[in-house]
Amino acid sequence: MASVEVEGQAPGALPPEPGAAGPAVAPPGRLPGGDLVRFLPIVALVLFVLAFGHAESDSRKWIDIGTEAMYLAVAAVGVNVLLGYTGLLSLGHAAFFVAGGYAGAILSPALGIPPWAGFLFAFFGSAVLGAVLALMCCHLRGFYLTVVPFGFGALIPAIVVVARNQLGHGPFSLQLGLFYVSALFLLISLYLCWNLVRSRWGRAYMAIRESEVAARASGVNAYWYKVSAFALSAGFVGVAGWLGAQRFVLVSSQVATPDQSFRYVIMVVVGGMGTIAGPVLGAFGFSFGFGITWVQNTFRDYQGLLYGVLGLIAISAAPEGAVGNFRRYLRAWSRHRARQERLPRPAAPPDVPADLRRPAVRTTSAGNGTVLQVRGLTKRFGGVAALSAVDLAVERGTVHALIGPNGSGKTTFIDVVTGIYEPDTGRVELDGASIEGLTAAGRNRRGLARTFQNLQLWRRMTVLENVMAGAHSTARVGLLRSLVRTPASRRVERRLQERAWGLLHFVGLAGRGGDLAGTLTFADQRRLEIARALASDPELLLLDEPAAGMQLSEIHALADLMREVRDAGVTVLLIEHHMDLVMGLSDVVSVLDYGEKIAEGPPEAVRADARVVAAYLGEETAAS
Amino acid sequence: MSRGESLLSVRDLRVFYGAARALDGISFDVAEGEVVAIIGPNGAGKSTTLKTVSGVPELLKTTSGHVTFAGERIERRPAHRIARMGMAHVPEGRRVFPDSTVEENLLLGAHRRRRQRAAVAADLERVYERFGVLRERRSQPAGYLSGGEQQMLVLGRGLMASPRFLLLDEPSLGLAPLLVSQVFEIIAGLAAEGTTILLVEQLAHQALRVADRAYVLEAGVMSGGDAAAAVAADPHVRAAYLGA
Repeated sequence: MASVEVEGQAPGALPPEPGAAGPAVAPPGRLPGGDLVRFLPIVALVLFVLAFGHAESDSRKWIDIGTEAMYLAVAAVGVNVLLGYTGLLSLGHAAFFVAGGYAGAILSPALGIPPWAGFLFAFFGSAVLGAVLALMCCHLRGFYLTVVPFGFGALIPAIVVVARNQLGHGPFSLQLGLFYVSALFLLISLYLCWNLVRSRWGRAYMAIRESEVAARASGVNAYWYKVSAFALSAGFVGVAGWLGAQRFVLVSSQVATPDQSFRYVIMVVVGGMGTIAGPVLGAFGFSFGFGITWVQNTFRDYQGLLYGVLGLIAISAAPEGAVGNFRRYLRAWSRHRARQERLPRPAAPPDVPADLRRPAVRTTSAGNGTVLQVRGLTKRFGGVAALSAVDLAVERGTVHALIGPNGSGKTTFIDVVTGIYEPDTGRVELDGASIEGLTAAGRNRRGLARTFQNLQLWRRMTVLENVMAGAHSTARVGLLRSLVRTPASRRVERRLQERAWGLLHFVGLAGRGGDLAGTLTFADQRRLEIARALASDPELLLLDEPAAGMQLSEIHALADLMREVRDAGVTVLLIEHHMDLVMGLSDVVSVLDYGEKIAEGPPEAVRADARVVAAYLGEETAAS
Repeated sequence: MSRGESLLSVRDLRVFYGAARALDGISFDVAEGEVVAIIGPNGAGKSTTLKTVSGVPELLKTTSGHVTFAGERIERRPAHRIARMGMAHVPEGRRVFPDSTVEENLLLGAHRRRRQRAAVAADLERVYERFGVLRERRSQPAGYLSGGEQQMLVLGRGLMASPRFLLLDEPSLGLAPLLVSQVFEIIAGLAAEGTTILLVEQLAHQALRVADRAYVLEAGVMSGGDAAAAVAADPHVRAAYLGA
């Protein structure tokens, strides 16, 4: 299917700013209108701030409301980092608002820090607090992860009540000044967030949101990344709290109610989770909306109710939020244009040097020998032994096939080797060294990469971003550098992008780099999984049924691809049911049945083995 | 076998996903009691055809054209009402209820037949006979099954609906060679009992062996509609899909 679709950008998948990456590596399929369109929201925001400040400079009420809108937007940007990009819900973030206010406006002056620098104290203080909280709860999942911060949110106000003593006066006695300062901090927050989502960190966050198991297998230490997202998010909210403290000239525990935390979440959801502009729209909408006199008078006692009802309506009517909905209209418009055959052709994918188009092995260990050595591997699920005492050795530079009936333990074998499951007994050695105790992410760094039988692509990220995030472990860029987009981090970005385009060329998906991964066909999604796995330059590539759902000609193309992978020095462990592929490609075939190895050897010998024919091949396939 | 009236009739069906055209005015018929196969490359629109016929809602999808099933126009009908008319769709992608047991998953396939308890029990027994491993694992959560076993479970769930018309999307996906043969035996058996089947399959030679008629769908355009043997003898089909 030729891609004429101008897919809505993935959440945060905005094309790179000009200059950040050379024009040679700009993704195709960008929004109609080019680069300028992307800056319009920021220009509009700046103009709005200036116009509002000028027009309402005499209205204490409206300047006050405008200030609130600005710092609530900062808080919403922070909540969005956690909720929208990392996919974690916290109902205790109002606590960081109070903590930030306390640290920035009360503690800082007391410690002799100049008032204007209070925001640093607010940011880092809240971030540390957030990190501590996250350390306690990030190993939890879903409901429990939401409940711990909830309890935390209830705790903080109590501490503040105890600690409340003298109140420091803010540095901005002028209301108007505070308004502009708040607007400035909002712009800075947006800039940092914009950088973040187009960095190694932002992609890792989104990968965790889309499929945590695939993120771990691609070298993302999910636990620490969740902790960092939590801390960063708390830092933003802390700065908002500092601004809020200047406005009220006091720090009140009242604003740390669970009710307030819930409002942040509603703002983000209504505006659009996982988008840059969404939280700003949400915060502005609620602040200015409640600023209208009529609304204030009518709903004074029903604010919580109004938030709840509006949230419900918005979620059921537009689950992707206001910004998500806008993207939908944009897509509908491009569909309309396509009907009239007026859609611009998508730009050609960028060309990259030939050596980036080939798989590579990162570690240059000794040429020969055994890459993977497994001894006595046993894994039980409940009473069922998925693997019992399996021995297996994969030699360097070979294609080693693992076949067997459905449910014979093949996928479990890959899961145990790559660190998704702990084995009950047995040893796994890579290059002669035990990898016991390493996490899935750690094993990826040591040279293991895999694909998933039940596709685990990051569906709401673009095809290109999937491959770039697959290369997570090949780069080292810190969070702060990613946030301010230092020259070093730009260089890494450019390198990752070029490598990703190269691998997309290799698997034949370069024309779809700008599309969302979820829009690819099954067979293309399998190819993308291979490109993503190759992006970490692995020593051993473990493929789980890569040819499932492919037709004959595609399987032949896949076989050629795998020969190139092998020739580039990457060892391949292949699980597959297509016998032509297995027999034509493998150097060694091992057969599992009920978790035990029943045969091993060159393809012809295994094909003739009576036990293999009876358990797996059937007479017909063995004969053909 | 006698061929009845056209059970399913599709006329000039066009489907867009956003700006991308998935189906470009396809027309085909499936007669009562027939097995019809659709073969073609990935991305040609085969799964889209099945999903559009059975009314699966999808984001950003727009359609035009007629779909007639059992004499009634169904192109605007929601999936659950089409299912009630006797159409069962076994989708690609192994969607099982992971926390329910294997048996609960199978019984969910028969949830429209609550009154026919004896018949449902008999069908359950037949599914277990066909897929022995499902009987072994009947009380385990479906999420514990391997990929191939989940594929069997999804197929079994489709059979539990005792449908008049069965849509199968890649029934062999991820199955071991021995089981692939079994699945096609099951399809032939269902056809012999009078179930009408529309089959999408990558293993073209297997599909053409079991089908009465076949269509070739390439880039959203459908051709053929001949007897399966004639399609299998076509030089283009042989070169592209049969590896001959």
